[in-house]
Amino acid sequence: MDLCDFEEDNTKSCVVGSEVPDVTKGEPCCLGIDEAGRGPVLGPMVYGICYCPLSGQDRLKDMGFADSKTLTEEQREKLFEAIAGAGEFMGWTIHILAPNAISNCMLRRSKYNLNTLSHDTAIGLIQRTLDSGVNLQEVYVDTVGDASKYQDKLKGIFPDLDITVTPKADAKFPIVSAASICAKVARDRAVKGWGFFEETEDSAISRKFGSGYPSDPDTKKWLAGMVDPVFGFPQFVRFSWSTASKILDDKAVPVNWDDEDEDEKAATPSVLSFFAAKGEDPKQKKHQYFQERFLHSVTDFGS
Amino acid sequence: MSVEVDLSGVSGETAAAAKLHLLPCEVEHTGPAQVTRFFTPGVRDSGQGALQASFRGRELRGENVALPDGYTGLVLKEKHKAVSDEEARVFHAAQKFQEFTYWNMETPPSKNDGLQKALHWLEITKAIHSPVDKNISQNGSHTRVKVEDSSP
Repeated sequence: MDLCDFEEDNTKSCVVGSEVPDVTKGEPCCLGIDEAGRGPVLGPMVYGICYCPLSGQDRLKDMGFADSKTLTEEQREKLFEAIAGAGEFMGWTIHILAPNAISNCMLRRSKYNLNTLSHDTAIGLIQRTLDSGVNLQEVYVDTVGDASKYQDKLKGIFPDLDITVTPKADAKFPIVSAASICAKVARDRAVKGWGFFEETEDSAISRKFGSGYPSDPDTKKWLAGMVDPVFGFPQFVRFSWSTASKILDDKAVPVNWDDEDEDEKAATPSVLSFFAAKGEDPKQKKHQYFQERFLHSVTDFGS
Repeated sequence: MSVEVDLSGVSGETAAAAKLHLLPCEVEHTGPAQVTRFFTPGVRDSGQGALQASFRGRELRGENVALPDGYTGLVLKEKHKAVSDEEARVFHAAQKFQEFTYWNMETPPSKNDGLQKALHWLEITKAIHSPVDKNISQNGSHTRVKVEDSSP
């Protein structure tokens, strides 16, 4: 697994994959999808897919796949070696969603939540596999949100595929276990090898950030010690997680964005406003030309 | 109240140009900030002069904006706060600049943004306030009103 594209610029998401085995272009195939690193407040979230001919499913079972969460890191690395070694009949692709990209999406003006981001990433990976010429027939997906709604959504987009969306798919279907191993291995490597661009000679960044889960005391401690009053955190942190934003509310200076108080403005005006003076003489009002340019006459600097 | 600006700090040719970022948000902070550590290394060129960056997890789109010809930007610092209204406020020019980076929230900067349009006003004000030249040539980039000599 070569993550150098991502390591070169970890502010952006990145897709990495194996060669497409010839046999998967001919024989009907199954594909599994799973993700790793959804919960942590730190580091990327990784989507993984794995596919192989339907006829190869017995061979898959023999390889010993299981839910990646029940395996040790060493076992996962070994199983990934096995996947990579079975390149003549199995293919895989991972989509690394950079923590910065996750923050950007979730904090967008028009809200884009993590479930939608997950769905769109999965859809993108299926489409990519189809485009690369794989003869896909069955797709197994570990659910994100409501399984039946997600399944309907996927079936609407890919009506020709036989799609199964279910919780714990990684424990039920070996091809999903294989996908979860690809995702988890990539996530672990990306976190371990994270290059902080915020790190300089005078300001080292501690790697004692724990598991990255908000409940981990090491993660909490690391976050609290990392705050810059103006910029907040390094981009390794998902700013959109409440764990992160609460720490910033306490420890960093407030930042006010244009779109934040829109809801308040739209609220019913205070009854007092109806009794207030009618405002300035309209003749005093600047011409629209200046209003549009936010230009005002001033006689002094602000304090 | 009067205002004085002391330009001695930036008068020499050697004065370093300030690197400035205009953010689409209000940061409740006046003072030093670790811009080159946390912000600038994350700026990406997304092609054709369009820039992308993040601040506090939010996506910014920006571009470099040059000041109109004939203008110089100054970063002013007030060393001592004036105590009374009669006392003049004295500002020292700490740095000067000819361009800065203008950042929008999520959408790429465009000619319809308030800032771009505000800078236009500087061009227009030059045109309407400069003395009318009877022998105006029609070349040059500015549109000028041609004044005909009406004497017989």
